[in-house]
Amino acid sequence: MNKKLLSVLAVSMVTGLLAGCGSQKTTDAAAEGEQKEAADTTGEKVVLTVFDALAYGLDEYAEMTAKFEEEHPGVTIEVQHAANDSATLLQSRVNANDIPDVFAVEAGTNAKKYYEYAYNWNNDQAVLDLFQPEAVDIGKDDDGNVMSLPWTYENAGLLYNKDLFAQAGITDLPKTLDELEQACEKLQAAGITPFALAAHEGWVLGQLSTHFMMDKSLDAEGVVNGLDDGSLTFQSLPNFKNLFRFLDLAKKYGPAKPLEIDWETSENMLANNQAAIISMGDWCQSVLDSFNPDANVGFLPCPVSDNPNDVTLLSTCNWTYIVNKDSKNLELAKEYAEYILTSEMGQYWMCDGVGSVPAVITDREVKGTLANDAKAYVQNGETNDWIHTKAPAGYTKTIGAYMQAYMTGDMSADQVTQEFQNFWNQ
Amino acid sequence: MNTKKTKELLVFVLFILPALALVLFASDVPFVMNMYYSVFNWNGISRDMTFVGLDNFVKIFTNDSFFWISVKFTLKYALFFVIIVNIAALTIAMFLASERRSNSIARAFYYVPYIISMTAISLLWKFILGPGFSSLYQITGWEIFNWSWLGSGKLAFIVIVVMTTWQNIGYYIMNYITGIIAVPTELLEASRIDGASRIQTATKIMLPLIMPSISVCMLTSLTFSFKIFDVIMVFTKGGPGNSTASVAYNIYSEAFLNNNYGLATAKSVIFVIFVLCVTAIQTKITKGKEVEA
Repeated sequence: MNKKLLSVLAVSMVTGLLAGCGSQKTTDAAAEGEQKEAADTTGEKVVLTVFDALAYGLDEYAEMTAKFEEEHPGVTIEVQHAANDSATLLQSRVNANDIPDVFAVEAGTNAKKYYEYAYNWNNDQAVLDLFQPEAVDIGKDDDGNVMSLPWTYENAGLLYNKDLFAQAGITDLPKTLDELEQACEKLQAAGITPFALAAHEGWVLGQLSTHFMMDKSLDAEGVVNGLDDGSLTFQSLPNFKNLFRFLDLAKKYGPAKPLEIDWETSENMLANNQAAIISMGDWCQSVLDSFNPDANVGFLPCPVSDNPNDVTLLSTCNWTYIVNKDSKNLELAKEYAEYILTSEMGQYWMCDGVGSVPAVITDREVKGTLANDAKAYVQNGETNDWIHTKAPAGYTKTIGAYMQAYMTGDMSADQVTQEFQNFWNQ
Repeated sequence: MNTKKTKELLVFVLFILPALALVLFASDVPFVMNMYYSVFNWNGISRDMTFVGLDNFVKIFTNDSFFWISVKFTLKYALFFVIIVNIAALTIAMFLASERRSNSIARAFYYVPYIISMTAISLLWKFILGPGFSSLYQITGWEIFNWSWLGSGKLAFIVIVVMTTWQNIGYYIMNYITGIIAVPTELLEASRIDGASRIQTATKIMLPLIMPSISVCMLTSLTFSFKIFDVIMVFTKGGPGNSTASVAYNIYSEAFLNNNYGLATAKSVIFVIFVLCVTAIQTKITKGKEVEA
């Protein structure tokens, strides 16, 4: 009798545990961005899963999805905004067969990984015509099919604090490394910390290094292809050795513990008038505004040599949106992607919420001061494409670590250059 | 007679089934899948994988300096952590073993850090070592606050050892206290009457009798130090310059940041075999020294 009771108890515990596991999984999924429910037998309730790798302009985004849901009764949009570790999260979801209907990835090497799951837009010329033609090219795979749609232009380079430069009496932006050094001297003489390079972050250093890899006659694609087929090496790139001179400057004219400055501290110092130059991009506009809405910042095209014409500002449509070609609601997903990237509400989100210049052809004013600052350079054709997103996977992480080793003095410039080359050869 | 035995067996199986199912599902099946992936070249996402045989394993031994740097770091960390934590925990446990009121409070103080999540503690320490130390330096002017604790490889190592020791020591103290309390007091009193000094009592009588506790604690601390990941992830992300990347972190970055699943799983297979060997040796040594009272 006792034994029977115990057995019954054990069986009920096991089933309870397994049932608990099951519901735990669904609550986890609910917390993260639900399993896609197939359209009901009545065809009424539809859930569209969206994966967004950024957390900018969240209020405007919510307004945008609310309007879409209004116009499409019975449809709910489940969005997962994954600001940190977005690559890992997306990878886990794809592997769990929980592929979102619409998801954002970085264009280049990263996006190409997902192209086998992507819908091909080649036959939707009407949609493609809405975008700037060079922007559409970014979403093309090796065969020329448009597999993803562009979001906004992102500009990466040196940001400088205009007020601090004025305070130090710098009237012209430095265009060569010597001029940069002189500018640092002036800033330091005025009691201002010239640099606040976020050396704690490998990716900041990795992006910085691409300025010194750029060859304006080849642009990013040419440089990457050259490194891939061996016609170019890091030792042979003309301006690459100046990277180390730049790092020395950043260290000499920067804060006392350079390797402890993370991206937030770096942006904080720039916005609060404590440092004059950082290496970042216009994606940090909303963060700078939150630190100090009155900060007067702009882009400083990065000097890379003695030639003033070599200054680089890197601009591209970094984030692209892919529509899952196996989505159960393909037409709806396509419509949603088109909606957030081209419609009035979408432009409201991109121009006002995020503050960047969208890829869609429009005259709408953009709220971000940095984006507007870069617009002039973009329109004059003075910018170049991004290299690090076309580089082999893990570029900024691996390369950033080497650059940190150089800054701590653990590796010499030649060793680091050799390691860059070894990494690319793999 | 037979039916009774099978009935007992059935009840036995029923009781261990939940735990067994969880362990199998959460750790054993994935490990077998790991071994399967390690002979492929896969980027973690695409639907097809290319079979490469033992290429990944060969690559680890010939062309992967990062892995060996992280092995060196992990072994160095394991050495320091295991020795420091066990000696410190044992010493403190000997003081806290008696039943006084103040001892209960002291034990609670030591145990509390253990139950706080490692990530929360890492963030806390990161704040203390960064802005916290800067302010302390401005107030006191002591050089020690001005060193770059998180920005230099050697200092970051010290920080990680100190922090993980501080957080985990509560668990080991509890273990040792349990072991010390289980030692029959007549033996200790007898030795004191026979003229043994305090130290001799501690080392020659108590220590052999708490060998089971020492065995368990050494095993736990060894496996903990080999598996360390969350501290590295929150504190330094393997930096500066890969100087604080542990093996687990190296495997993670290989799989998810370099998109090289096959290589990463091959590394994890090698790592598991290594940890198995080390812990088997360690258990054999300490079990051999166990003594019955």
